[in-house]
Amino acid sequence: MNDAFSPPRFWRLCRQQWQEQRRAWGMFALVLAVLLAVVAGLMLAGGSGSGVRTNEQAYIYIMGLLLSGYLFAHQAFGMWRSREATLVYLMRPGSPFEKWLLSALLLLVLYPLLYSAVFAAVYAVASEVGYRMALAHWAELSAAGNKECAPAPESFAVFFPLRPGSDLPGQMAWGLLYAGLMAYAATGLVFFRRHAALRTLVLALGLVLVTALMLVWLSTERFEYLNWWLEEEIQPAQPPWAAYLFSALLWLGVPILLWAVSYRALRERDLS
Amino acid sequence: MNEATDQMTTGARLADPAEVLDIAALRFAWGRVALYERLDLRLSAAGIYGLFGRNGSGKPTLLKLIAGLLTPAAGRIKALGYEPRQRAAGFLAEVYLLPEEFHLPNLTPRQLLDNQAAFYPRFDAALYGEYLSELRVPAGQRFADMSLGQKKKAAIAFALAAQTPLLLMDEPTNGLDIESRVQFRRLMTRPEQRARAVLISTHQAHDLESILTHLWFIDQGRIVLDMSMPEIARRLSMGVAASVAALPAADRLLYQTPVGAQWAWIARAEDAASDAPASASVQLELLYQAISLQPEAMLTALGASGEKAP
Repeated sequence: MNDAFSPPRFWRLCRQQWQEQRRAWGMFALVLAVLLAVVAGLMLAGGSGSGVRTNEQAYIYIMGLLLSGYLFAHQAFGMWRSREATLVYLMRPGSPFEKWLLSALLLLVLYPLLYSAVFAAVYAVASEVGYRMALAHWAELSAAGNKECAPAPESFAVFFPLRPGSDLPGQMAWGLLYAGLMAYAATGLVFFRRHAALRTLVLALGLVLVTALMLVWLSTERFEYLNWWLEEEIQPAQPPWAAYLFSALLWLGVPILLWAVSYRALRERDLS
Repeated sequence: MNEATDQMTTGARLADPAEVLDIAALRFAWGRVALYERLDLRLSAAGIYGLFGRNGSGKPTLLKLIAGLLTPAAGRIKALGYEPRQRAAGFLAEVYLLPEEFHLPNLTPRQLLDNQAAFYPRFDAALYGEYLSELRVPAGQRFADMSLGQKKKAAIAFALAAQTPLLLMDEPTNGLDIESRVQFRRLMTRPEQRARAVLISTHQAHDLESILTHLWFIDQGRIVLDMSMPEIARRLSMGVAASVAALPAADRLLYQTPVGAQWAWIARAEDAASDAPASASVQLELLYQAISLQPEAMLTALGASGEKAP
């Protein structure tokens, strides 16, 4: 049997994770559905239904995925908060790579699918309600002599990433940001035993600050680059190579590096 | 004759004896506080090994090092042919660590079997059922609804049924009532446990003296006593005297302590050089006390650096 990866053993790890966590995941999905419904309700309240158009849904989807994904990571891997549970996890017969792969799949594939399913269920209803409200609003305006076009049903379609015609590069960037955030959460969970979620967030703020300062320091026209970060309309004509390099590191290198760090931490962490 | 006699006389050697446990020149420290400096330990025969020592002597730490949960500062640990720190899946399937403070998922014992037994290739589901029944743990009740003692018994049943060649237990009888301790001893002496090496770290000497086959005493970062129980019984005599006058002769007497109106004592065996099998049982609690309070005299009498684990 290959010690680094064995499909039957990996399947056992998956099965064990599912049997131990399914209740907690079900509860998480339920709370998520309630929160998404509340947000949808707020967006519908007092308006003409336009708050749940597909474009508006996209923002809710992305913000919801980032926030809830971070919380899900800390909930699903809560064993790192307890020494006893960590011991069981580390002593479970699976290779560090298999355990790491399971974490990565759970956070990068399964959770986004779960989130998307809950989001679709909530917004299937919300967008239908929004469309009817928009139609009613349009009927009122038409009766008053307004010549606006009727709202198109497709502009109230349920948002789902990577659908044809959507902003794919933008969604890829959000996807990378999500992957980086999950890797960061996984690393924080392995490193910090107490208050991992909070300490990881504080460290993230520090890292963002340091990254911004480094970008400023590396740029030839320092203040211009700080402004470039803060104000979109002020853009340098030709960013220097350092800015491109940091941009690539930020978007691709950081998630990869963080996942590598989380693997190393999982492999080498001591249990005091 | 004590409960472990069969095991002692069997002395069953494992399939690949040299590979069970081999620790050489182990150094480990918590921060700047050195716990072990050049600790050596070797184990190649099946049996139940008791690891004793004062508070802070690093007994659970040693178990964690053997399990690969801690990194030695220097030295070598080989367990079952693996380097534990690599956390190889093959190694983890061959060793089971039951810590003093343990965690169980919120499942029932039956679900635990379905969920985790497959990780251990030698796991015996029928034995697990028998152990649960012997320990009176309801197989269909969730762990969250059980008392600490019940949970501990379920964890013990699982650990024993896993049938791993190496089983590490830290204070397994803590939290168990008197009846459960008796049941635990009964389980440990069942025939299926003879083919494996069990390391038990404990302060509960009285609970285990009848089942141990071998004794390790750890002090100041090294193993000061590494001896089989029959060998200890052959070298020492122990007993209770009604008065000081009834104690063994002063040249044999090693340790005495008042027990109510009487005196518990340890003395050199009258014919320690003989190869005849020992018949007296070892009172571990008394021995523990004696080694803690008069280490030099006791260890000299035992020839402590002499016999090593088989």
